[in-house]
Amino acid sequence: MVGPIENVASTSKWIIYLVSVAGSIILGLIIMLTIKERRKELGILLAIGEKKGKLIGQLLVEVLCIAALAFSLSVFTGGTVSQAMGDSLLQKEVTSSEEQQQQGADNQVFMFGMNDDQGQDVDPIDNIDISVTSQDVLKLGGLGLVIAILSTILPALSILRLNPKDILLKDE
Amino acid sequence: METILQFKNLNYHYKSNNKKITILDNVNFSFQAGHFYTILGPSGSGKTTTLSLASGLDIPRSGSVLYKGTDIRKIGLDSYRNQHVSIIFQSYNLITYMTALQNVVTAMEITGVDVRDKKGRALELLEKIGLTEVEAKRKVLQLSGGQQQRVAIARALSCNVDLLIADEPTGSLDQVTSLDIIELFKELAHKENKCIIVVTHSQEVARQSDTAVYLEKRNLVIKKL
Repeated sequence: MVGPIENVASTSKWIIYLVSVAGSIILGLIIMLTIKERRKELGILLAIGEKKGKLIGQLLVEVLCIAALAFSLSVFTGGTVSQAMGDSLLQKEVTSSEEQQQQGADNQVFMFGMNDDQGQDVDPIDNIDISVTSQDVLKLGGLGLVIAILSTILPALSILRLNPKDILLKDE
Repeated sequence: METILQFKNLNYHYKSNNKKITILDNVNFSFQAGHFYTILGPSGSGKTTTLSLASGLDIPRSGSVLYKGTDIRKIGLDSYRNQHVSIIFQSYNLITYMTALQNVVTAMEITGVDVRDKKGRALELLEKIGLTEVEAKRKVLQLSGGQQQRVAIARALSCNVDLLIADEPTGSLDQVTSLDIIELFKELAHKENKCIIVVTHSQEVARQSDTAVYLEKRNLVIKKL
């Protein structure tokens, strides 16, 4: 019975899409807030003569440093967490599937007087071994990198519109 | 004497409530190396605008600002601020999470000053303008207003430029500290051949300068005090 496994696979895929999109949006918003908070500092650096491209680069490096730390942590914890999540999801699917089967069997007994044991000739797959391979790590690492870069670059482009005179002299 | 900065047919205006407000009207003026200038004028006369144009923080509506004969827009405003001019703001505009020393070293790194021991050079400059090593290693918010202004001046000096522009550098300082800073500006102009332009409303500071320039009727006029 592979139904539960297929459901888990489908759910996992949707979780990845959702986390990628939501994560990008959240990270982008955090970067925008960071730029807003650091406006004065950015204005000072621009007034001294720092190039706007370098400021964007600085933000990117900061985000990538945090991403590298987070990624390193996830390499060690990913296996354990994904096993626990996989077991939990699969258990739910198996329980739900068994309940559906039981209901179907009861209906058949009621309608045709069939035996409970009939129809249950396949054992459900009720556990999976999840392993995080180096290919998985590379794939997800690459995805995380793309998300980090895009979520940083897009809001950081607002730095190009910054006018140091407006920032500094308005604040005065 | 070398002309460091030149305003050529400079015009600046802005719109307010659909009205055109002219700040500078066809200004032609030259600033020389080795000279200490003050720019005075009543509030709203355009001192800050003049400072912004001279320092490359803003661009004129028409006309040009020339640095050693080249339009600063051709040099690139970022490059101009990076390589040729240092600005001292009235409100210091230091990076508050850094120490005094770090503020000066950061400016040297941004402007690419060719000094091996940047930290040592920064400490030297801070000492020159009256800060001890202990004070230099404090976060700027732990320093007094006068000390912060000194850090801002040291930061401007560290960039090794020909042109220093200061906006009311003594505005929030006591008289003794103000006089010290004016003496420093005089020394920079006369001994190190820099062009110092100080925007001020203080007649006292103006009297100490080589040339007092007034913003009158949207133009720069030299006046003897």
